[in-house]
Amino acid sequence: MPGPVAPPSLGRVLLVTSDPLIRAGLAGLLSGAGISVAVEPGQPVDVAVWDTASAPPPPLGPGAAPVLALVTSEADARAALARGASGAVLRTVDGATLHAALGALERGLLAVERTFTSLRPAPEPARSSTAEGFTPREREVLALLARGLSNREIGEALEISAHTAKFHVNAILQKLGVERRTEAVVRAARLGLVTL
Amino acid sequence: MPTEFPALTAFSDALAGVTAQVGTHLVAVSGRRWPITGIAFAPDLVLTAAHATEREESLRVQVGDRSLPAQLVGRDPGLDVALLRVADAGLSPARWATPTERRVGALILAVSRPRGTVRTRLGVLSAVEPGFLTPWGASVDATLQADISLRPGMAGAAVADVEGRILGMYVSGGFRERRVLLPAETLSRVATELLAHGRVRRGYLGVGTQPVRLQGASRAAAAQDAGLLVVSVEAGGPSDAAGLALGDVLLSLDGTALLDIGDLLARLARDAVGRSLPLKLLRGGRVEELSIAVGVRP
Repeated sequence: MPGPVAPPSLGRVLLVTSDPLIRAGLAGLLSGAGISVAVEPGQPVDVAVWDTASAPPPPLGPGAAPVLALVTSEADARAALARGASGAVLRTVDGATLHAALGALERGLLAVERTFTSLRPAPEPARSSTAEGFTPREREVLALLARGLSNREIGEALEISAHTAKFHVNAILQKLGVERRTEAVVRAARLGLVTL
Repeated sequence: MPTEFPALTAFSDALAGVTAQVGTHLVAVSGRRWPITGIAFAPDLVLTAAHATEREESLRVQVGDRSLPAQLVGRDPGLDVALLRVADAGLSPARWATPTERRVGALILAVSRPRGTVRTRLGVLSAVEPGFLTPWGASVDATLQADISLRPGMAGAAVADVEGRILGMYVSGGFRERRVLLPAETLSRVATELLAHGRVRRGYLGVGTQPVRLQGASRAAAAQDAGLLVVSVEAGGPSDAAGLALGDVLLSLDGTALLDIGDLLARLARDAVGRSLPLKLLRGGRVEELSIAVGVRP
């Protein structure tokens, strides 16, 4: 078993803000963690902290130091990431989290608040194995639906719970673009999805 | 005290008498949250609505003041009809009205007995129209419309004329809580099927089709405007055995033109299982005819 890993030691951090309180607060947080803070732009730095609410962005993109954006909203975060920032945390961030985010950026990773769910890629739609866009299970449920069975009866026939059967039925209704089971049966039959 | 309106009293007495008489053919069926009504089909057989028989393992029937266990003979979800067997029930089978005995405008009573006591509602038979096919491909022989206001708890209720003959039974018909009055001839046909096979067997070709409009030379060759384009053939099914292929356009089955899915369902709904029927189709621009051995819908 590997021994304890030494806490990452950060190099120089550039603070990009025009708000003296933020600057003082950040400097305090960082120097408390043993990180040296570069005050003047132009000095070589390893990573930059950009307060999006008070300052224009520092140089961003290839060749520039990775930039962690301090934001007040998920929308700000999206805008900052779109401009090339490598991370986005709330302005109310605590020292340990800030330290962790900067450490991640310095090592070439991205760091974003987990609560910014809209920034995550949407899940890939489930792959269906049939040409019509229905999973094999949905085809089975559809066949039973076409016989007039209730969710409970469908569940019994397929040895799944009525709740799961209902989930599949709802997915089928949605894929067929209908609201009712009867409509689903008629639509599916006309599409040739139910064999007669 | 002499009655002031003897004709009205006689009429009222007659209605009460018919209600009581029909009530003797009814039982309460418990197999779900709320009990519903069942109609005696034979001394040990009860017809009821299938949706109320969900708790198959604990079905009970109340006959008079006796509570008896019941076994499911079979059910047809497509029509919402179930047949139960109740050993030693000694039921008094209902008298069923024939199609010629039901008359539009006749007084009718909807009699139910979901909790042991008889309930009734009065109305007229307001229309008798041709039958229809449910979306599940189940055939209803006639559309009976009764101007009886329906309330919850009417599933399985018997609709009787003033002779006490039962015209039909209320079910949900598989349509979301929509009450359908199934005519006696449909009930009788379904009960016979359930007794023989445990379910209502419907014809099956094992083919997925889409309705298509025929144009130009295809239309001329087929001599009809539309047909059913074969988009899937179930391996090993009747269509597979008959040699149907993707792209064939089905034109008619046993002389019934197939212009839409409903036409095929209707022909398969009755008297098709196990028979070899002539099937006309359009293949490669030419009309061909072959024979298909109709299977049973799974």
